[in-house]
Amino acid sequence: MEGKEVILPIGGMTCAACAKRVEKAIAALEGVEKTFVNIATEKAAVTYDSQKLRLSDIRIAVEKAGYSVLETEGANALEKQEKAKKRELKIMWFKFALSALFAIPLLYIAMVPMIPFVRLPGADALDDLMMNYPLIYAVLEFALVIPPIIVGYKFYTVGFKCLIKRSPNMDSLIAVGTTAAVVYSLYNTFAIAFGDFSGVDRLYFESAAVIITLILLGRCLEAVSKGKTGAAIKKLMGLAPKTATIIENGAQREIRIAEVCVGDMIVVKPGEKIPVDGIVCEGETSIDESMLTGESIPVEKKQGDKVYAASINTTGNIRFRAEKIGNDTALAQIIKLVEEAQGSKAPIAKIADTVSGYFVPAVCIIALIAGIGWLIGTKGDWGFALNIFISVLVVACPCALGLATPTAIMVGTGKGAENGILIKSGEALETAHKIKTVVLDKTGTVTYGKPTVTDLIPLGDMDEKELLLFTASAEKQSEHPLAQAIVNYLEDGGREAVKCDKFVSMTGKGIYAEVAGSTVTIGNGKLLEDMNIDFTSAERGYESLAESGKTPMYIAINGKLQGMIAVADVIKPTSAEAVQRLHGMGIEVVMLTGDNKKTAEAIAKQVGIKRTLAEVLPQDKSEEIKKLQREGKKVAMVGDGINDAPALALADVGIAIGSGTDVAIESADIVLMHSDLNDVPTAITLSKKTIRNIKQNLFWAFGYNTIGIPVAAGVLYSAFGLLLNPMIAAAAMSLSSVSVLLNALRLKFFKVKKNEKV
Amino acid sequence: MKKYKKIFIAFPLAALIVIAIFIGVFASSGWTADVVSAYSSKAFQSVYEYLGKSDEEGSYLIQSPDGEASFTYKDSTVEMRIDLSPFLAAGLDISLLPAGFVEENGILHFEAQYSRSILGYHSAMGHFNINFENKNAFEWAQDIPANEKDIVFSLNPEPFEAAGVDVDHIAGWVLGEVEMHENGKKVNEFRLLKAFDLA
Repeated sequence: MEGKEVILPIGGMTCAACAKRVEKAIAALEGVEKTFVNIATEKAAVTYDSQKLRLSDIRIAVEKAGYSVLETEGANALEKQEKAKKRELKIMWFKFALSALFAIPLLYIAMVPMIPFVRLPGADALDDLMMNYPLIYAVLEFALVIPPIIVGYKFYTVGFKCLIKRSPNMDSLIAVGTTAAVVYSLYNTFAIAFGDFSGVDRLYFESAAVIITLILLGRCLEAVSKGKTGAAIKKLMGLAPKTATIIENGAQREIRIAEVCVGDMIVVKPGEKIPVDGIVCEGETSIDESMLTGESIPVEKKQGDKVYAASINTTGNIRFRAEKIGNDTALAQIIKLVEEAQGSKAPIAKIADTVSGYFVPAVCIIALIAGIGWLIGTKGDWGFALNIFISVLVVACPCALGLATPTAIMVGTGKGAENGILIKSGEALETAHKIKTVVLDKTGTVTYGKPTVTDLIPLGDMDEKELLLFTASAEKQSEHPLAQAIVNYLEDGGREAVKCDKFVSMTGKGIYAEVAGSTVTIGNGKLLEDMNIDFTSAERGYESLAESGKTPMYIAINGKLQGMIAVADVIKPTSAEAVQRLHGMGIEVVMLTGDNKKTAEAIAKQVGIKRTLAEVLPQDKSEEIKKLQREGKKVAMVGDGINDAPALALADVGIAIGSGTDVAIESADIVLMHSDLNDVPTAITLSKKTIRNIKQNLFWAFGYNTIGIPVAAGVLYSAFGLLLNPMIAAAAMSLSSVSVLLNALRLKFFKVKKNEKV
Repeated sequence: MKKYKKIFIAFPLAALIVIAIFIGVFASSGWTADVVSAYSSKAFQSVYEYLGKSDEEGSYLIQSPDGEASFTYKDSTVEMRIDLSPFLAAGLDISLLPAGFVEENGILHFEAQYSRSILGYHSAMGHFNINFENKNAFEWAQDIPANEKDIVFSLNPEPFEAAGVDVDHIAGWVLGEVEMHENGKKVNEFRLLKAFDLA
């Protein structure tokens, strides 16, 4: 029995009786262990036997009882979230449109009579209204400012709440600024009603309306660009199929992906997507796993091989058993990594937060001092002082500061994901640009990690084919990885090993076998010495192969040296290029391996690495990282194995090869899905560009405020008569946010270039 | 539910505040939207208490203390009368006055049918005004105790200058620069002014 607990949001319940009814309907199903329906949360907690019951059965039972089960997970839930976001954005645009609908005529009414050189339509009528009917004019303006205030009510609820809690934010500035404008204008409206008609010149309703409208516009644009930065996640989410075909009681049945349970037998036809992670039980096929690994060549799959959700079955029918479902699939894990990284806060973001924390109260104080100063300076000109006060508050709105880092991090990590570089945190993205040393694990990172026959040299009267047949047939009995490489080499040529009658393995020396009536000795010089076989003529060649990082073996048949075979871990084709790119960026590359020094140096030489740390035990790898860090360098470790995990975790930035172990991937900060070392310099370049982008954003955000505040405070007024109108201040403030967003979106044009130097 | 509760409270409260503001504003203005009209009447009554003379019911006559100018309201007709003697002394050739300037027995008559459109507020002076044709006006102060010019007879000097008057030397009249509001901008214009402080 496989107990599974689910929490189901129930729709349509209104009272405790409804909850009881739903509870009863679910409990009546065979396989339900326990159920509890909470009317307050409108959710049902159900524990059931997934072998006897499916989620759809529960759903049907709830629907029969007259209620509905709302979506909780899977593609539909994502769609719903997507719809909710779209709805929210629609509401934001509606609010902006509504605010603009009233703010524009209000601005027209307020400003047109004051434009000295151009007489816009209706100017005379408005002039007459202002001069001869000031109360109607003021009341009309007040009526027009109400809708923008209503749609922008959140600025007030949030802003004042934060102000009361002594943690004012940008909403506080907007709330204080616009409230000051409205209250002062209302005061002047009452003054007009009491006969002080000059109050008509001191109405600032339009400032409040235009400020709210512009900020709402800024928020809409912000939401749109946030939607764009989240496109990487959407793309990844869109990869998952919505249904799966399972075999139940010998028949095929299509069910929703959320209903697939671990252990279900799933059928996938050619052209279909693999719905969940699992292990092939029947059939052979090629699967396109490019969405996971970036590898464009389909991977052959047979019984016992793993298949991954969202990969595409290209050729044959297969049946596989579901092993990982829902949030446990490789795809879900990738989405989680990207989401976590996009949501994470880089240390540089803390600068903006810290500054904002001091900035807002400082701005309030500056606004107050400037307002009072000008009130005294102008001998009681309240209108002028208020103008200054509002302008300072509005121009200083630090929204651009708040946007500077997260937008760049979001776009940067999204761009990384698009290129197969999963950056788990904003911190990793930030630290990567400071990397001065990259430590590469050898096996599986610089090389493929699988030994392959590199040389087969006949030295006697046997030809290459015959020599390989004897060698592979003898080695087939061995479990050593090198032996497997020799057998694979034979089989890759379309031949089969022949029967081996006798097999003896001699640890540290080699093997002895009898194949087709001949004795076969394969091993090192020591073994041949023991067997009294002369190998002196081949010693030099043997040494030469060993020096080039290969593992050579003598082959003697019937007591006579017949040849040599060398096996080596093959270097990935892009490794040398990646090292060259890193050197080009001024980064030192170090190779770290448990292998012997000779092999390590040979591999290092081939890829252009000058410094190697060989014969390092797994437990000592992290110690080597520490030593490099003690040299005052920021160190990145690139590895794939479980043995690399501590070093990956300890390094300033741990980079895991995507084809590596789960432990390595979990320990790393960045995962290279293409398993291509070229993505290391790409990730560092992306980091540098993102950080540069953040710095530019911070410059823009601070620049606007630094220039804007003194101008708004009237510093240039005495000398040059330059003053910032509250509306212009609002426009400038919104412009700073927009320019920061646009700058962050520039990162979307980041392209992976080969041999790029930064 | 908590959210809805807030909305149920917030919206009526906001509506009440807005309604209260509207009521407060109009209550303050004496339940009128046309405050200029309402306050001009009150101010005119004050001026009338100082200088007013009336022969008939429904007729209002304000005579300048020097007797050389007057303003009359009768049967929805407003009239400003100016004694031309000082103008003649300053070189006026009556025949050169443009059309629309009615002269009778040495008195210049400016007449108009009263409507709201000829009533205005001169914010620079704190005056209400009745505007006759050719930028001629009769003005009275909104706040007599505070204002130094409680009634002002204001004439456009240009037609007089064209009719031979030395506008700088008209006895009882001053050529002054006045801040006016015209086409959305404040402009300074010259006017011939006869002003009196009543309190």
